[in-house]
Amino acid sequence: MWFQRRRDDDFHNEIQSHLRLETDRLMADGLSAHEAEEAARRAFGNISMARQKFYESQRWMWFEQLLQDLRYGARSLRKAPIFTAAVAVTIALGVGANAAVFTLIDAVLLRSLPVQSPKELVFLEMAGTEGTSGPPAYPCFLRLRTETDAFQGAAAFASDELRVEIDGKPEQIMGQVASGNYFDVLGLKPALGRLLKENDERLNPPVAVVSDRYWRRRFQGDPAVIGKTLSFRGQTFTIVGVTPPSFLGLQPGSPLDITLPIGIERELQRDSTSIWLQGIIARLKPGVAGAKAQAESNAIFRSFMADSRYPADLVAQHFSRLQVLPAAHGVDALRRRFSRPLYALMSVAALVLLLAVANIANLLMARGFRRAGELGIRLATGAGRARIVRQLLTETVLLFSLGALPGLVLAGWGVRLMEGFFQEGRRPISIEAVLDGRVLAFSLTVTLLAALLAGLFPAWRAMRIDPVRAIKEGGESRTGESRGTALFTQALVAFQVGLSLVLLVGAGAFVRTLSNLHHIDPGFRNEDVLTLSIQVPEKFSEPDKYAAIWNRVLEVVRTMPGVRASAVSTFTPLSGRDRGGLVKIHGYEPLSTEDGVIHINQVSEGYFESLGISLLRGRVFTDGDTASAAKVALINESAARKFFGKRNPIGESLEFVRKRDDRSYRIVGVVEDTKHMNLREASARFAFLPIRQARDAEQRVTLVVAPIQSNGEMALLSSIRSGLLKVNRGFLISDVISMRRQLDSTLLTERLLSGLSSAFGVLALILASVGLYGVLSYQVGRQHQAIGIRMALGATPFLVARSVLRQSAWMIAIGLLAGLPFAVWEVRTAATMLWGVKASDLFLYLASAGLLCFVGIVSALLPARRAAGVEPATALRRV
Amino acid sequence: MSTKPAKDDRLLLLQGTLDLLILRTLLFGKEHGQGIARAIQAASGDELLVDHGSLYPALQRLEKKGWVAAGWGTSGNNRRARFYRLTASGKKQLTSETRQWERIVAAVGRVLTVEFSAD
Repeated sequence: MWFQRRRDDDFHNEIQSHLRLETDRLMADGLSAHEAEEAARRAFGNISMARQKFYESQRWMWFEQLLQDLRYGARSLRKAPIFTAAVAVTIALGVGANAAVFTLIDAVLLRSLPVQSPKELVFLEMAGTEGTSGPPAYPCFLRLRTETDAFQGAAAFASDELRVEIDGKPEQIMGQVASGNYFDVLGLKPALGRLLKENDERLNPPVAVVSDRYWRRRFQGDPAVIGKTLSFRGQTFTIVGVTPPSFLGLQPGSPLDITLPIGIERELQRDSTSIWLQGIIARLKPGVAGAKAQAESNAIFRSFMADSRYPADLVAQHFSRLQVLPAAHGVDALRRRFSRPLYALMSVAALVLLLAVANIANLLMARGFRRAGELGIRLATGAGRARIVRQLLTETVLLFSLGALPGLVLAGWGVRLMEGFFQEGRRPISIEAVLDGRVLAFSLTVTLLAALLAGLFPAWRAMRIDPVRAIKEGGESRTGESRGTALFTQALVAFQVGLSLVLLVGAGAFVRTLSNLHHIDPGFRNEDVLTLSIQVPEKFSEPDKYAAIWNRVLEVVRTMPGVRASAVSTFTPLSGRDRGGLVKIHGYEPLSTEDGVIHINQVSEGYFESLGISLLRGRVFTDGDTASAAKVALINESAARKFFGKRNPIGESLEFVRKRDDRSYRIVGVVEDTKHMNLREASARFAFLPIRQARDAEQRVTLVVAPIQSNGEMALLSSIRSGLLKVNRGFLISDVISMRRQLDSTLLTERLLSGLSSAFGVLALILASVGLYGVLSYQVGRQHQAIGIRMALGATPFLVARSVLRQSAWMIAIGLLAGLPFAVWEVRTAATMLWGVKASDLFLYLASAGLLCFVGIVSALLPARRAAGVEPATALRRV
Repeated sequence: MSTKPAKDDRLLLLQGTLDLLILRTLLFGKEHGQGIARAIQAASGDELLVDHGSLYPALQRLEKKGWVAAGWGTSGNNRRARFYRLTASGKKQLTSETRQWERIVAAVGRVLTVEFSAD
């Protein structure tokens, strides 16, 4: 306050002086001293009101009252430590769950790229009847970049794991190639040195930009990193700058280590349509609408596609038009994959909180009755009702805040735990989940809302307290509870039961989904197999050297003690890697381009033995299937069925529709189908070619090792690693993973959902049983006399206990009935996330309802026993 | 806020006009609260009913606004009392509020006259 504050007693003195002056005056008028004093007081009116008004005018009253309410609230919470602790723990779990899931949602779905005006950024992607299918080819990008007028700039980029050598040592890092104007389009400033420029695309000299994170990790943040060199595909790149710390690339989940310029000239010398871009990002000119930009770039795209040689059906399905899509959140692969599961988890967490709120509302009601006496006295001594409601709500908010703080700590743990889930597998997804201001604001809002929701009804009830009755009946108001209030508390319990049913059914559905997926036969052995990636130096790409190096590798690995079988292959099942082509088979007429598609894996002998894939017909590869021998191939069941029907494929020939490949492979065997990209899909058609007859000398292959001993795969790792480095020091070994963990990592979403929803389900069960127990035992306590009277009139303990149990059975039954439609709706809505679980699955509902009934009756037993144990004599004496 | 029933037919003070009356009273020199109350009553020919207690929040308000200044002193009959005096900005406020008051009174008067003549 800006003016000098007047003291309270100064004002008091002024009033006293007024009264004296007025008395003097009245006595002068002829009144007696006593009469004059009386009259002066009367003329003044309400003295204490004047003083109070003065007091309030001197202060931030609301603030004073808030502090007062908080102090009062803290005192009354301290007086009920068990109640306080129970509520705080409940809230901590509820708010913690919500904050944790929100942190993930914020990181994965909501956060914008840390670039300048992200809303102006768009991706250019091809689309057709089958949805979007990535950016157009590089030459089309060049035309888009020069011929459009809608963009301030457009940049192409593609990221991959790169094998680079620094100081002669190979390492694998996450890198991207990008147009020279990439950073200009994003509007980023370097943290150190400079970022890429347009003419860096000439690769003269070749330069590179590293991320802040890689700079700190690999170079310990040394500024002398500028000028350091690294070699990639035989070319030496000089590091010229570091990107800002917040920028991790355009693909959330896989932070970049390095950016190299797209080498236009070198790339264009190759087959230009085969350059695979990951994305084209462009910045709209201010004021240009997305639709206009789309029309303009689509026209260019169509003219580019006019002379493509793609089959018409393929074009219609995938490449019929160019779309302009918002890019503010970056590449949305992660968002597409996780948005449904994350929102599902958010709903589950919200339900848990709602359950907690219902629980606490009931506890607050019960507490409100016990405090009726106290509130009655406050009312009688002149407290305003509004003030009491405010005080009760303040107390509730305080109580909730007590829980919210540890809740945030719990959320922190939860987030770390879930981040761990995402970190598994070959391609760890790194979620930049931080409990930042947004999460805090969210948690605060949720806490306040929950507190209001829980505190509103008890506060409203407090407003209707009759002070006279409340005081007369003492602290424990025995008759103050109206019928409506009793119904309300019972309805709250039924509500909790219903919510628990929804949560349990959800948990059951997700748990069964995971178990169903685990029981799917993937067609290969998912235990006792180790896989790891080996990248060879560029110089091994000649066919002879290529075959020779794998001969050496297999020879070394197979002679190691503990190794049962081993093989090399381009990729392994569920690894996320893939190759494919179009097939030409005599006697098979494809109806569409899609009909001719086949996946191709190049494998060595021993591949099928190591992975336990059964041979159905013919033979598998041997070490005799070399470059000089006859070209052979294996196909899987699905391919055999599709291309040969009932005919025997053995001995038939397989050709690929491909430029510069007129080789024909003779089919020598048929193997069992295996799952390929994930467990849910139908098995894909596969052709296997011997890696020794390689048509593509892939720099990176996967080594598959099966140990003799069960669970012995990881124990072999160190000897395999040293053995491989003895074969060649330039080998880069990465992506070491057992098949078991590989399988788990493909079930990431399912494990997350089933793990968290079960945890939440158990929590729901506990909350509901505590709720039921609390309400019943409170009611038994209140009806102590009534029970005593009934028993005095001849009711047996059994009858009394039965009536308590019957009451709880009603609450459970109503809750279950009310929750059932929501549970059915929930399973139906979650259908795409489930596997082998249907909305009509009776067992699911029965099991959940049964569990709830069981827990409900168990929690009702104790109050029922207490009711049965009421002594009529003592109960009646208390009247 | 007094619960005292206003049985006599003296006028209850209009909300907000109290400020004006206080300022006007102080125009004649400094005065303490009780004196102000008496003065208002006397000046209105005992027509206005002032709850003495309600005077003090008003004085407090005026002091906060800087229109009056206050300090302890001694009264005519040797009693200690808190005296109020008009400040320069208080004088300005008084003239502007008086003018406004007169306008309102005139306007109300006109309305009443018209109604009477139509009767």
